[in-house]
Amino acid sequence: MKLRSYFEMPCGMREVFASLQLSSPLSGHLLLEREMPVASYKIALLYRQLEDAVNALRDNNICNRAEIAKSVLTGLRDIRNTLSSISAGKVPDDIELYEIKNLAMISERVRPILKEISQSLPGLPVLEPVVDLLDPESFRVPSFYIYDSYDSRLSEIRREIKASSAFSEELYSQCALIEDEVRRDLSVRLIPFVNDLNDAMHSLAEADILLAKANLFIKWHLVIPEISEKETSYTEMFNPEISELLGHKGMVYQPVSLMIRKGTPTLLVGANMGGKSVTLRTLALSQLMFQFGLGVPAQCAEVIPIHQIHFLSGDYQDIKKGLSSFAAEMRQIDKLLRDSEKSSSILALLDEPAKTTNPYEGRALVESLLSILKERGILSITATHYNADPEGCVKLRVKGMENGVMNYQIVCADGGEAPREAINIAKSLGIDERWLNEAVRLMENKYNNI
Amino acid sequence: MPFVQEIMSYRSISVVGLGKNTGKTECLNYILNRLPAEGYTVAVSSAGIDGEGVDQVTGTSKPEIFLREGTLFATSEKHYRERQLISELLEISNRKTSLGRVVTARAITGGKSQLSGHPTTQSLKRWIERASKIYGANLTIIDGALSRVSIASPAVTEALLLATGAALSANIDNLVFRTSHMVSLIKLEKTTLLNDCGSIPERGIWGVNSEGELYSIVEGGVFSFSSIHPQAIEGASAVFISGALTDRFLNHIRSLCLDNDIELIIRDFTKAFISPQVFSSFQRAGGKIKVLDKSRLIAVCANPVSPEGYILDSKRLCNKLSETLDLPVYDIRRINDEA
Repeated sequence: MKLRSYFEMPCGMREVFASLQLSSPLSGHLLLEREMPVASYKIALLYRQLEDAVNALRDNNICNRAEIAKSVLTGLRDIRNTLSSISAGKVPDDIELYEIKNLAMISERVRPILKEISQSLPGLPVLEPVVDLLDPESFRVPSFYIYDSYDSRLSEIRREIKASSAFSEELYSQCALIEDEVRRDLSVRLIPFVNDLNDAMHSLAEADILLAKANLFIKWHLVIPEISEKETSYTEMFNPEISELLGHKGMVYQPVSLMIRKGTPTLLVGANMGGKSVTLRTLALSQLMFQFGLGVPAQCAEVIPIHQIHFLSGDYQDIKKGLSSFAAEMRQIDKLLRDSEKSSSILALLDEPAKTTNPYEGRALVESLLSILKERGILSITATHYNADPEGCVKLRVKGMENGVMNYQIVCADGGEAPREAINIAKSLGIDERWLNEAVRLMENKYNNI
Repeated sequence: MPFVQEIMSYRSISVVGLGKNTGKTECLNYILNRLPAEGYTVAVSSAGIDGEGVDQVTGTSKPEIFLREGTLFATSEKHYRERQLISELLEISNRKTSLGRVVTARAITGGKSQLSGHPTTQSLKRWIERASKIYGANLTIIDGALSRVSIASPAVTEALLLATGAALSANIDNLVFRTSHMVSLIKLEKTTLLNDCGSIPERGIWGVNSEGELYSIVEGGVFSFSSIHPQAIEGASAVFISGALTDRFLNHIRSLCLDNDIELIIRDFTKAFISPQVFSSFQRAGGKIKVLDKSRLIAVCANPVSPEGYILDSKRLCNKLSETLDLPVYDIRRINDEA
């Protein structure tokens, strides 16, 4: 799937993309259309480039030069149409010639800087001859017109135009004819460079993307993960978006550590408001950031590259489609099961599946789902309030309320009991006391006797 | 040469026509011709493309502006390709308009080009700034369009010239009445109640508290004004309307404003689509309408010739306008003939 299509997944990838400070709209456009890399060697190459760039940017001198490159790259435009029409034999007009000159000049300015930043990025082609062709008077500014020096007749006729007191249609059209000849000649001489120009445009966009990634990597304190085959684990994982939000309020995000294995479904239980949903959301985001070569938000991490992410994020109710939340959710899980028949290269993140139905059936649905995921060797984590305990699963638990303060840490859960913290948390929210006390009374007297 | 000297004391002006064929282009050409040719850089562009929309459809040619050597200009890609002058292309904008991106260039020889321009007030503002900072323009002149459609507003310039003429009405009294209404809108005072925090919202109607801060009353533009509750603006010192101020809205909110002494704030005079009757009755009752962006009205240019062939008495027209408006009024064609 393309990066653009992951924006629909409610995990915050859109915000991450928006945080990338790309200089040129072309780079953003190309990045959005990019398919998610899945092969390990491709991802490894992305991280080699990122590592080079991050190391280079830590050198103050290169960092300043990179800033210059970034500001030059703001002028980078998408001129694919112009280039393809020139190679098809169309004579370019002044606007198109300006665009080509602009691209060639940007490329020549960025080329030496790029060499310093990353050895692993493909180098830029030499476009000096194009600059010379479109800047015959060597002004080295990106403006353009059909300069006098292109044709000896031009300066004379232009002098006449300037000297005439009124606008002369005839002189102007004579001049325009000569200009057309010059443009025809220029287009013939540009054709051999079209491929290089195309390469330069794409490589410049890549450089822009790499610099934006490296800057975000440094700004968010991301880490380059190991590429793994069997397990995905994060030490001190944080959600960059929420962590920034808390930072503005003077609060600190409590990072969590966890590990999930292929073929060993993981259950995540624990109190309401204990950060289970945030953890799942962050796992989805980290997986995407990992595969698109951005680095991941953690102290250290190893991650398995996968082909598909299935993120069941909670409420799927869609009145327009006439589906209840239960039906919509069932469809989602059904799709997961169908896809998992074909490939096991899936990360399944399930936030309280079957939560809208009764606990009796709900628990059965969750347990049976997990045993199928186990059988198919799927990498999965499932948050639930049901007291599910299927065989061969790992159970993790959010530590929960401690002396009135929420501890979001994730630890191994031992006992088979579902945690009973809902009422305590509701009390801390100041919810109607009579109701909560009645619930406690019921639990103590009625249910314990069953 | 009337008003050219005064124009030169501003960094930006716009020429706004009260209607089609009121002589706006003639006025622009007049100014462009009389500004000093040496050591003085002029930049020209247009606010939006809508005013000429009809021409795009009917195919009749839009009047061209004559640009002298050295003049900076911005126009759309389409009109740049059609220009009749030799010019150096300096930059191309990122944003697309219906006529392509906006191209900035400098005239190398004198010649003709159509001007079409910036899609938003923001981009127009930025261009005016760039023209002076980067390309050293001493004066930027904007060919301003007046339209209901939300487009770049000419009110971002420091000063403006208003073009009016027989095309609007063949009856001098009626012509004066309509021009005078527009002039009173242009003269609306700048508000002092709203803090210019740089983030004035693009949509919706907002309350302004005594601290000069905006707070939300209803969102979604003027069409939802019927949902304004009197309680919502109780205690407000002003109401800010980001969109158009219409007769219907003014009548709706009239008593609320008058009873609670609440000032109405609009972005600039181009957002006031109110009839003379409603406006003057509101003002007579003590109602206040103020603007965020105000530009000084330098003079009025009157064109006594209508496209249908009426020719009004130029002297009588100018005198009558000048008396009523208390502003200098010029018939540019007459000045040209007399010169």
